[in-house]
Amino acid sequence: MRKSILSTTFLAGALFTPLGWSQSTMPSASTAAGAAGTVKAPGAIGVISGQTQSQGAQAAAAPLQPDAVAAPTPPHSDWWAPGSGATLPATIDYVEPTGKVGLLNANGSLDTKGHPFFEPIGRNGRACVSCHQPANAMSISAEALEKRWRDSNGKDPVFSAVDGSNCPSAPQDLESSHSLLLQRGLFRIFLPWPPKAADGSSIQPEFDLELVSDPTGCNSDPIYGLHSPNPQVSVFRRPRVVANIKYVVSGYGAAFNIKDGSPMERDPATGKFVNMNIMADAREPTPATQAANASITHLQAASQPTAAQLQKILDFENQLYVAATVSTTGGSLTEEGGPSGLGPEALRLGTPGLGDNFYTPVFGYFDQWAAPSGHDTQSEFRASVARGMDVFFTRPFYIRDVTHLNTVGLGNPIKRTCATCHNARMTGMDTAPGWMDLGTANKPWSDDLPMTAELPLFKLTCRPGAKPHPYLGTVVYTHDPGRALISGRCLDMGAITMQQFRGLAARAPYFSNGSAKTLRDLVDYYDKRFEAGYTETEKQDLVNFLGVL
Amino acid sequence: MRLSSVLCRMLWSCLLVVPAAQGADRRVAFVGCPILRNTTLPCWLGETGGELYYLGPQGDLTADFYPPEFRHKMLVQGVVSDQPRICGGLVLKPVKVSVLPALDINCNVMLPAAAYPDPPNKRGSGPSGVKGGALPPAPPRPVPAIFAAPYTTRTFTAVFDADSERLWRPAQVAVETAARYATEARASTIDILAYRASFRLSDGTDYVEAKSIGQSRARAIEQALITVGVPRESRIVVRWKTAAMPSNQLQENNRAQSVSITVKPG
Repeated sequence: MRKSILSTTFLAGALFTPLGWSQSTMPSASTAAGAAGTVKAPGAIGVISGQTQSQGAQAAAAPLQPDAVAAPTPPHSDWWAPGSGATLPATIDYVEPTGKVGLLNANGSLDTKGHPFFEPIGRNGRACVSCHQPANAMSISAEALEKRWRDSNGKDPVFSAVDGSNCPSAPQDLESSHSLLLQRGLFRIFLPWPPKAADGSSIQPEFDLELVSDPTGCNSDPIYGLHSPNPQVSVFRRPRVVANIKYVVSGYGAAFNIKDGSPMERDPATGKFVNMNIMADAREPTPATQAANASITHLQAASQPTAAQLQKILDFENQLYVAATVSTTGGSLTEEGGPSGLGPEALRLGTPGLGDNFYTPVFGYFDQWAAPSGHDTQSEFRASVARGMDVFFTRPFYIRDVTHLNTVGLGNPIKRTCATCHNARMTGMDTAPGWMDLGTANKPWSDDLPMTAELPLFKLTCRPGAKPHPYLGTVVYTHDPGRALISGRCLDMGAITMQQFRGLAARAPYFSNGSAKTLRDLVDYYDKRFEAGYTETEKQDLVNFLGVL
Repeated sequence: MRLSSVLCRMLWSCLLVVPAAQGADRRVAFVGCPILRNTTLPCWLGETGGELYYLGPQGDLTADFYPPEFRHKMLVQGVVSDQPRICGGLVLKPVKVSVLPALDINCNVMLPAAAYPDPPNKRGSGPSGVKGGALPPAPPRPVPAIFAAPYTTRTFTAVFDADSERLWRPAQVAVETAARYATEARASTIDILAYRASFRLSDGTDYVEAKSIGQSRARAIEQALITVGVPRESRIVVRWKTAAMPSNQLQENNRAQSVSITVKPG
């Protein structure tokens, strides 16, 4: 860390005050009032991010389930248990509610025996695969979790107390103690408050955080809560897809965030600027730091993975592609002559970048399906998908009051389309840092989503001198402060990084807080939030389009 | 806002009886709510003194004009041009709009398109480009300045919007260039000096930036320089001015809304 210093020329403040000058007063190591100049920004050193140490301390305190590892996996189950030692084929399809989702290992089949993604390298019996299941497009669905609860009598390590329950202090044998995971696929994410800089020191936030309601009890818990000796905020979020990584981490590379002018974070390994697009709050700059953090927090490992383990995890993730392959109604999604952007092979072949909507469309063209070849169900479904693509890319509506979209110089409101934000080729993420306040976490918009009463509610109050949230003002009520829990900025309150669109049908529910149980719920939220005025046909077309990705 | 005047602009007939700004001084400066005309491609307007002014179209980040925001007042400085009205408003060209930080929920007026045509712009309200078209050539990137010994003391200027410490692209370029020069010149000192502006408005009053804005800008530049990378041995001096200086947003490198970064070689 560098410290700025003040030339002694300016220490005689009284001399300059009449002329209206002030200055930072700080010869190095000085404690003069007003001294600042130390840059405290989130990030990582080595593979350890600033928040990892305090998170690790809470993870270490959380109880372990002694019999978790022994949880049986029934024959013919799609559940991938840690340490199974099975082979993950080069290509494999899994049945999901509306068809099949396919995985493609570009480097060929993988012997998972001893592989750190598939082996329990922590203390609680979990592996990375526990929450990133192949059958669920490398995320996990609430339906799969509910089935696994029944199959394992709640003993699978995925239900570990640390974050697979509403709070580690809750009675772990009760189903109700895991209600957010079982009903909405939400894991507890515990983050230090105040936020931590890359070196683990505290960042002074621009706002005060108060607990308004705490249905899980974890934010007010004496061991795990906000006022514990190791103060942590608990929010509840869905696991993200661990596949198609070249698209997720690519692009950008600029020194400044195009959306707010703030400096970008660097990859601690290379020194290069990263795109800050992984994780809901972009708290980890790279997949390597994410894996190291996840092993310490989610797997309750006593230490970070070895360099060799990390490399194997990254090698696996970087060659893995996931997408829908079959639609029950629409048939094969990968047949020759079909839309070019569907299926995992298309992702392997594709090139990351900005999907200019018509020159290089985000998901390719669907013209092949636009004109129904007959009145059969498959043809009509495919035509609906093609219309859905058109709605997604060309149907304008007014997008308003979205921080990090309407604040970036485009104006508020802006008449554009879904693809204005979802512009990255093949994933529909944002090529720029993708956290935005869509309203899914913040009141009043979150009130339109079901089950938010079961989530904690925080009152965030911007401190004097801090610029308020651009559209909600000085006081914001939120179920998840989002990026603001990392940056400490009012500007980031409730801002959540958007997720990729692939394999959606295999991994309901949707949104970071799992509040949209179905794709139709998701479309309905957007329709209401932005008064888009979609017709029933447009809504169904959008659902069908999203479902085949 | 004089709503009656705004509503009048919704009708073509009104256009014939509303005179353009007269006189030699065609400059306009005001603080007010932005108004959106709901044409197919929306256009942005402002109103002061009973007159409606056209600011610019909805665009994208490659445009010269960055639109204002509902829920915020804006500071507008512009010059009335001789162009025909657009979207019912007198055309300000050049024009500069700053979104002011305070929340104002009354800034929420959208006018119907009525019979107005879309404002001129290279991009419509939907996707850019034409389906199946060829990708247009990327705009030329600015060529980075080449620095060579002997190095002398140089000053780089980062300009800000009114009452804002946000680094838009030109300010980012200033920081990156200053950091590069500091690195190449092995700077002994980097002097950051921030200013605070006041704006004389058309009604004779002044809009004065927040007292702390200089400090906020200075700190933003300091953090940006350090993040981009300057020599560890460089001493960074951070100063800001609390007295407001008269400013005109239309001036290039407008000092009163800027931070100067002076790099002294080692």
